[in-house]
Amino acid sequence: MSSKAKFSLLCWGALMPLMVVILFPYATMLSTALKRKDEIFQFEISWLPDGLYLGNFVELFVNRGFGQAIFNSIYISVGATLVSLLVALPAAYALSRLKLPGKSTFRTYLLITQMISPIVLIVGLFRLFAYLGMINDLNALVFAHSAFYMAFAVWMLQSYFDTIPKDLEEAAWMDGASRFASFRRVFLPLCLPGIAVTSLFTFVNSWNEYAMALTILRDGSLQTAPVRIAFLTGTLYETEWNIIMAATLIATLPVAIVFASIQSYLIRGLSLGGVK
Amino acid sequence: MSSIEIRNVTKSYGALQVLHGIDLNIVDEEFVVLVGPSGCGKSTLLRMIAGLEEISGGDVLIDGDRINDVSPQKRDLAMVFQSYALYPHMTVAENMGFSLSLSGAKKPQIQKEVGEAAKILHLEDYLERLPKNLSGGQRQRVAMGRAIVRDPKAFLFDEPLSNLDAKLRTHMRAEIRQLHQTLNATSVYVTHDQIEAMTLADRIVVMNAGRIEQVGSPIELFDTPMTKFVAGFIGAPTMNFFDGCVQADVDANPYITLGADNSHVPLPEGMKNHVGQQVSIGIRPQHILAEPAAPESGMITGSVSLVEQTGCETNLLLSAAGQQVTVQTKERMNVATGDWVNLSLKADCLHIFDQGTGRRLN
Repeated sequence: MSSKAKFSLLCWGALMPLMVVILFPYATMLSTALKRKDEIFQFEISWLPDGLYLGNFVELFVNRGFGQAIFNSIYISVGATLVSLLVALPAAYALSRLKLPGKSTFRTYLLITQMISPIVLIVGLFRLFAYLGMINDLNALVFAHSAFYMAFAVWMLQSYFDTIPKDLEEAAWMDGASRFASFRRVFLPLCLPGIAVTSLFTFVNSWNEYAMALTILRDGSLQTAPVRIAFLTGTLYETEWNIIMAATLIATLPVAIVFASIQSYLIRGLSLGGVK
Repeated sequence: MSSIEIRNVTKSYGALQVLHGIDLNIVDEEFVVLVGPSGCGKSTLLRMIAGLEEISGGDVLIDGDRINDVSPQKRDLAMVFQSYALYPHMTVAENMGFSLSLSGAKKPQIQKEVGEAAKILHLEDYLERLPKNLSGGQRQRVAMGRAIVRDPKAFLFDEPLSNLDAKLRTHMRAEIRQLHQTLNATSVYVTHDQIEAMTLADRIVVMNAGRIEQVGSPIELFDTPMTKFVAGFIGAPTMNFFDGCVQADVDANPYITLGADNSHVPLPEGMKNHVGQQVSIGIRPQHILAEPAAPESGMITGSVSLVEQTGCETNLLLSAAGQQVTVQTKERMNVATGDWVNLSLKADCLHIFDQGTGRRLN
């Protein structure tokens, strides 16, 4: 065996424990979600289910209203991503390209806001949305999430924008493009990797957010996927692991789909932008 | 095409002033090269003409119209950047046709114009490629193509050849000059390379520390530099300078003695009025005659420290008159390191500058 192959084997061997930690929950999730209830509590545990049983998913969507929870989560996550991008893009552009007084102070301020955990602000936020009559309103979560993740989006986009040579925009101006036209036709296409990475982080953060969703959305039909999953664990006298695992499996799908669809941008983006 | 007039233009960044009252007239169809060392303000001046830098003071006029407050988009100037600044996500054809598409031109017209520009620049086979798939020279051509595809009032070039290797630079230099002869476009070209300036320019503007040192044709600058800075900047290898005091002999003819060996160098008649003045004598390496010989009193003698044979010329690096002196000759000299040579300076080729002000005296 060549020394390169040996080194490769050694690396894979060292990575194995991590791989197990990452893959084990998914394997458990998949295995349990495809089993009948009585199959789970058998004395002899088998990883492979007896058959491909999809009844847990049917139960979840038909009787437990999980489809509505997924819709709510998608609405909030996509909405929060769009709103934060809508504000963060021009803000990051301005910070990256324009001469502004107090620019570095503002950047430090943005960083400091990320040090405050949202959980300490929950009571205040609840009172705010109650005052605005937005308790039990999905849009309240859209605004709350976009506000919380916006600072990170601005920070990350600005770091990426700084890597785009200024010459390109200046060349566009010399070609007769207005500031907006050069932003749209030259700058924005070059920033897609950075935008993709930022969108992904915002989407995933919003998708996984629990405390605010639990506090502001009181009505069961407005619950998001993570809240609904938590409710599945403690609502009955027994814990239905088959249903819970089916729910968690479905809850990971949108994130996986988003990841897969922007993967090619992501690789470029992570290498160029030096994310986080 | 158009004329460009620069009137008493200044540029400051806070308390730091980088351009001090620049005045320059560029006439229609002229090729003007701004040349100078790094940090002299030449690129800043070009960017001010382009509208990419604010003008702190003075006026820039195109065809007599003041354009200080006109945005770069509306100045109708084309610029070729040092980095080429090609749009990486667009093909060569899209890069070249970008300005036309912005101006609302129809697709057939864009294709026609891009095709014509590509033909001039030999880019027909690369129109569908992305910039990342082009060589340095091809990218440079695309940058030129993007400029010529529309009919701007003037072309601005910001060190467009500095990223190319020496051979390609020479080739592209000739292409740019030929292109200028074809298009007859008013052009302002920035470079720190004096060879580029000499070969391309109708007129050269030599800049130093935010000021214009001299404006003139390449030959004027080479033959009669008005300051010591210009004399040292223009010409390769660079001019030799000797410091000394103007003296008069018994017949009142001016002369100067150089170095410890008291070599006697006669000066032109006109220097009679400068007797007693501290001066710098400049002489180009091509205007010094070197002959292998033993050291002789009254002559400038030098010992050879380096011999460079370029094929066409021989460059000698010597220690003479207490300093380093460069001599260039067309002859194949049979000398080696450590040999002694006698030097004689061609009297009609001396450039004499005041040591304090650096201004030309003869």
